[in-house]
Amino acid sequence: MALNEPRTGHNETVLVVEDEVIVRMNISEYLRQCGYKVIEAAHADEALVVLKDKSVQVDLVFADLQTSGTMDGFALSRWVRQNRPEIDILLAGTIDRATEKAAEICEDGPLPKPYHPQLLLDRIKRLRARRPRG
Amino acid sequence: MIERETTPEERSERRHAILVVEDETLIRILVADELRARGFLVIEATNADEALAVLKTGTEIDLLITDIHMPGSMDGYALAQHVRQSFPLTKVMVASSDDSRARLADAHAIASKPFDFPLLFVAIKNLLTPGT
Repeated sequence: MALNEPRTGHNETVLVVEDEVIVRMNISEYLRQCGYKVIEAAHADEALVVLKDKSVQVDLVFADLQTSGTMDGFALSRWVRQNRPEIDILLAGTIDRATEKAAEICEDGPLPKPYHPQLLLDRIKRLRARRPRG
Repeated sequence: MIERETTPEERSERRHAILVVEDETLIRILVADELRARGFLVIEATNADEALAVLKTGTEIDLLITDIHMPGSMDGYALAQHVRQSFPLTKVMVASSDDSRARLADAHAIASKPFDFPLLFVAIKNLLTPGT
């Protein structure tokens, strides 16, 4: 999905909605290193707590399609369009896509990309592989 | 976020990493923001399970700040005890609006809620200063 306008990253806030903590922390930190302010939400319900509080600035919602909670990424996207139409929405369905999208956002950030997005993807995959199973 | 084993000297030189465990969304965002503004690397977890998922990747965490009352498989007491036993290099601070309950936790320090940030930063500095 193309963003409506080129992002400058200056004082822009991205709300990252991702229920897997390993993915969320790495994507969020990557975007911070590109100069964005990042708010983290583990699922759509947390995102709504943030989005309903209009004192919290949010410019872009960057959500996983299949977030846990009472709504998925599509439903969250609909909610945002209806209730906070000034906010852009970016949905990603896989970790690979999320990494790609993060890199695209980063391209428009105020700071240069901290490292190649492939390294971000590799790092997320490596850390996920270390998680104990079961 | 450093993944390999490091010496205590290396730990003291890099940016300190703090894992904030708090299920109240706006409180977690506020605390994380304040800590980042102070230059800390902050990882956010919404419950004990997420916190343990992060710790088990080998990501080095200098300080865990956890709320006591949390949903999920463990509350803050159990998480503090587990981290002290399994991740002895990580300092543990528990936060509660009731100091008498916080003192029951197996922790290096307690923090009163609502957070008084100047006091919190002093406590963090004391905890993360080598030799303490």
